Amino acid sequence: MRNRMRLFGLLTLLLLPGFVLPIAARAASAAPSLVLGTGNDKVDVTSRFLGRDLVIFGALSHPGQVIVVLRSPDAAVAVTQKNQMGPLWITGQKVTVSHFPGVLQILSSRSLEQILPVSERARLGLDPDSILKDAKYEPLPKDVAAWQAAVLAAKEKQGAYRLNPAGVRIQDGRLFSAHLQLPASLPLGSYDLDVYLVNQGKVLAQSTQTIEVQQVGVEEWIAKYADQQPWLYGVVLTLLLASLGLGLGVVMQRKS
Amino acid sequence: MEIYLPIAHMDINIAMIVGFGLVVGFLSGLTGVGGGFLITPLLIFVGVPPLIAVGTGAAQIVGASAVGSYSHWRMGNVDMRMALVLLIGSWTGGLLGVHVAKLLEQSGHFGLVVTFLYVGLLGFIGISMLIEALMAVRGKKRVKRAKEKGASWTDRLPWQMNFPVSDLRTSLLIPLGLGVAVGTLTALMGVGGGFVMVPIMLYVLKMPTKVVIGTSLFQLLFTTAEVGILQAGMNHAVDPYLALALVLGSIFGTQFGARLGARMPGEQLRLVLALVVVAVAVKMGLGLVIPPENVFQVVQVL
Repeated sequence: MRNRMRLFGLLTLLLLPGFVLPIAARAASAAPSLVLGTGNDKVDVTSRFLGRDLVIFGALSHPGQVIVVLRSPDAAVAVTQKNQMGPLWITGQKVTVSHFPGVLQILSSRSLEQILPVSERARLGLDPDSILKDAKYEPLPKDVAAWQAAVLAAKEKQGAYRLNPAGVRIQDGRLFSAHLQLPASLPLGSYDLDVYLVNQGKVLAQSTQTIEVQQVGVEEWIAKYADQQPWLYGVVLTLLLASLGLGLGVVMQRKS
Repeated sequence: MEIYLPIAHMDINIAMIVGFGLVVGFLSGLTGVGGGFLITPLLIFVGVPPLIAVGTGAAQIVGASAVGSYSHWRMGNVDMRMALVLLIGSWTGGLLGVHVAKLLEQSGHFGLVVTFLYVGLLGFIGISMLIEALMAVRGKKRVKRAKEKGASWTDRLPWQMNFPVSDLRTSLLIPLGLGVAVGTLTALMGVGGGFVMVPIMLYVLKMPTKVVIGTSLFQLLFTTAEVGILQAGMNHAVDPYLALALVLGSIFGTQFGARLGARMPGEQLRLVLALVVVAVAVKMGLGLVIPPENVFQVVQVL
């Protein structure tokens, strides 16, 4: 299934120049455009899901640099701080941080500082520091900056936030490709995939697509029940555990 | 075999969890001491959030103790009247404990409280087991307590009731209070509480040993079932894959342990278990003292 998708992707990639190059050749004055393709626009999460590589590819009408941004729906985190009290390390304040994307991957063909001015980067939401500055902290801690840095560090360590200034490869000035790496733990829902064609500090063209990240199969069923019918789930699981223990135990005792 | 846990929101090697069940079940089968108080710390050590470690730890005891309860019930070793009184207490304690756990989790202090409880309780149990085992290995006889003359303090409590199966008359308050304590421990620590219940039944209530084992197993099966359901219903704290893997491991482990244990000297075995318990308490205690790599801890919330 995955291989077939990849093959399909490659075929599209081979065909793309046929469409795009004539347009580009016609006149440099024609509106700049960007064609975008992905290996798959759906990611299925099962209990064996340990992260996934997503291949992004496409073609450009004009020369320039490319930025690929993958942004997940918002997901909250709980942050606790440990304080030293005598010889002991004690858990202190707990702050819930929300209203910021759970996964953010920004790949570009050159470092963002070199290709876009600060204002433009902030407008497009390409600066993790400012994204975390705009998040909601509840209750608001005294030195928010330290908590922001802690959340960002945790997100980067987990692989949820990634900035790669060499993550987009441009071939012949016309074709680009990029590898996104989804972490194992990720929020579900519609992810926004935005690709920008940038030249001389300006966004020339933009292309947007959504990628659905969803739980499937038994996992979806279990997670849904555990979340929406927690009492029923608890009763059923407890009965299942009791019968498993009883059944296996009786069989083992008979054998001996 | 790495899998993603749907409730705990983390990757874990599920074969390792089955291994935990096997090892703890094996120790439990060897020595006859339940292993719930080892499962929860092990889960916390490998990174399972404390509340989920505690909730899942309680739920897996349901599976691990089902067959034992059933066979003791079949053999008539369960004092039903005593078990019911205990259950009224432990279900109340369980409900209370799960509420407290929820409040502590909301304020972010649950992990800390669990660590303190474990260091204190495991330290105490481990050291008393160690002393007892060392004395037994050295061949010293335990000093027998002088028989109490006349009425003990338990006879003066109100609400005296007859328990014919255990052949005793005592106040309802003792099993009720004992039940509340055990239920609270189950909810806050994910343990069955046999290590508290058995000594009190033996030495305070003076029930016959056979009935103590049957009744305590029977009541802890239903207490852990209640706490498991409450932890899933109120706190979303029971992970199905973790619980199933632990039950699977512990059933096989217990059987092997019990077979091997019949052919091995009991004192040495209890010494080994005591050392394991002390080691776990020390490891948990070190977590309080060693400066954390990062003073901030970030966890996903749903």
